[in-house]
Amino acid sequence: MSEQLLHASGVTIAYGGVPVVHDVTLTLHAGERVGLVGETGSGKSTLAMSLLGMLARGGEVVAGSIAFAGRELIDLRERDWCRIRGRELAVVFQDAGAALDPVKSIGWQVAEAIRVHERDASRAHLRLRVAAALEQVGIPAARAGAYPHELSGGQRQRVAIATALVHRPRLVIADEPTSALDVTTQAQTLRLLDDLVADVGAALLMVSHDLGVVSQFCETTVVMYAGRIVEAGPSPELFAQPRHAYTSGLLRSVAALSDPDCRRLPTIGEDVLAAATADREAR
Amino acid sequence: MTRFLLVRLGGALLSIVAASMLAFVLMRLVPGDPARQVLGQFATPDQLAAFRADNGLDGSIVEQYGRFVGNFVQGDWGTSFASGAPVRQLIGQRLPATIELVLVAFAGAVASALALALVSTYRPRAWLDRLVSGIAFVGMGTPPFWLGLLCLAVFFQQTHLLPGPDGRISPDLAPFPDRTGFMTLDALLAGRLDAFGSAVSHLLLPAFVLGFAMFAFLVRVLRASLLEVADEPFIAAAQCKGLSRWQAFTRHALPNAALPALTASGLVLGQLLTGSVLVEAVFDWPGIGGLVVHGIANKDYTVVQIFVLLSAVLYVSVNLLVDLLAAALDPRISLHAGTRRRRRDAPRAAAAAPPTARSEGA
Repeated sequence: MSEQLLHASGVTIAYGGVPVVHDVTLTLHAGERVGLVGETGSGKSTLAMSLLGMLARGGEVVAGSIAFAGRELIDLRERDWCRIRGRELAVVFQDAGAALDPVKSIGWQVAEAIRVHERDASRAHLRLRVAAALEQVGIPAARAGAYPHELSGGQRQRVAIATALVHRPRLVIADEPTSALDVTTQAQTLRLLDDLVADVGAALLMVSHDLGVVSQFCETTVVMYAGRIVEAGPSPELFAQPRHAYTSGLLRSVAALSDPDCRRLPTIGEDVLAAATADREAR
Repeated sequence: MTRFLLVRLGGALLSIVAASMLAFVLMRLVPGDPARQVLGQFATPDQLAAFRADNGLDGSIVEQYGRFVGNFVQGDWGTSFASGAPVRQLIGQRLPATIELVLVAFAGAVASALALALVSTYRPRAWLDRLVSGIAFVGMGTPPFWLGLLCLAVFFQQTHLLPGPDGRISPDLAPFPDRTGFMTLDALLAGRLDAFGSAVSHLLLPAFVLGFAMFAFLVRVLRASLLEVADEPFIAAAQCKGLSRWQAFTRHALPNAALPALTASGLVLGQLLTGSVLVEAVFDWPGIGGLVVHGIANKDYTVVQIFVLLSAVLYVSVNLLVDLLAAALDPRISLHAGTRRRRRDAPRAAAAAPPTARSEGA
């Protein structure tokens, strides 16, 4: 296996003193794609945000350590975070419509991402870089003066991807990058993200509740449930032979177009909750 | 763009016309005859009639209004009944003092409101937040004339830190040429630092008193919209580019939060001229305020009318300017259609509702 890029161990996150993520251990290697799946409220987004030091107000990592490229991220000072974020650790948010500043042109916003880490970049250089970044995601450089509301949802997400990749980061965290898009745009955007991440050689942590997406794009899958990691492993094996009751429950709840009877989808029931609890106590 | 401008200009013009009618009619509804007031109780009916003819007080009220508007547009603002001097000259002499006071108060209020709103919101800090809200609350509820008297009692009468109500500059200083009408600028242009210091110290208290309520209003508006923007994902996204929280706030939260504050400051700046009347009275500031107070007391129609009309013109033009500025600041405000497009992800643009032109009562 290649070099270890990120290692979170025993991470417990609490909001206002109430723990929501319990004792989570997660490892990412350089260039690896990891899918973090789980239902709404399972703590997957919270975990991802803690890796960026961007927990919402009231959230705090109360135990554990997060090592990124040999550095401890917990209790990092803001100044040090500013050096890492955007340059080594980038993020693509769920809804690019909300993640782009509505009163600044997209070119300006991409340029800002470059300027933060390259203070002495000249205007001409910036213009070239912005044009290249936009072209790379299929947006004509002539559109650099456009404002977010003048773009489609897919275009906005592509701008966000271009912004995240300008410094060739080592890890890209994508928090449900396509759940705000319609289905046709989803596949296109995901493929673009996948290609570009491969181009710069970054590792990818894809937070998603879409099992299909994760099985297609990520070699490793991590399943979270109720603030805990219940199962993790290579995607093909995990999807073929889920070992945890919750994972198999999750897999059974996927709607299949090939199902001729259009049966009602099963819900994940009490038995799984009991299994998860038993599992927790056994550890 | 042209259509937007035409529509807005037309609206502005209508508001000014309405204000001029109100000013004109209101002053004439007040009981009391200015001719009698000026000429005294022993004047003959012939003298009274002659006075009315000279001052445009004869004929029907419609005729009088027509003459008033026609003369105003031509630059003839009438003659003060009380002093016999042309109103335009009276106002011209006193306007710079008021403008200087209003501008200093406005600049101070905007700058301090911006600073305090930013500092109290960019990071949750309960005590600072409560302090700023408290100051804003007190500011909104404090009558300026009372605050003025309080300031005079503390800073002049008790401690002698600042000069008392004796105008714009210490009377003992040697005179210097009057170039711009702004005492502080004139002193600097003449290279007189002593005069500059004196002018500034005379400005401090009245500007503070005049600006305090405005500061309180602005800080509330700005704080509210900053707090609303603070949790927007684009602030977090900016931080994830490597910006510090402060940078993300000044570069992204502020421009987004500025629109409601811009509209609010337009509203208040337009009112500062009328607001300065009381403050000028407290500090004996030789601005328009004294003229107006005197004019009202003496039924000096011509002076009060012109003041009301000028306030309305100022108010309407400031708000027109604010609308254009807002359109320049927020790309989502479309000038072409003359309407504001609302988007789900842009609640703030709509919060800056188009200011309605209101006439200022005397």
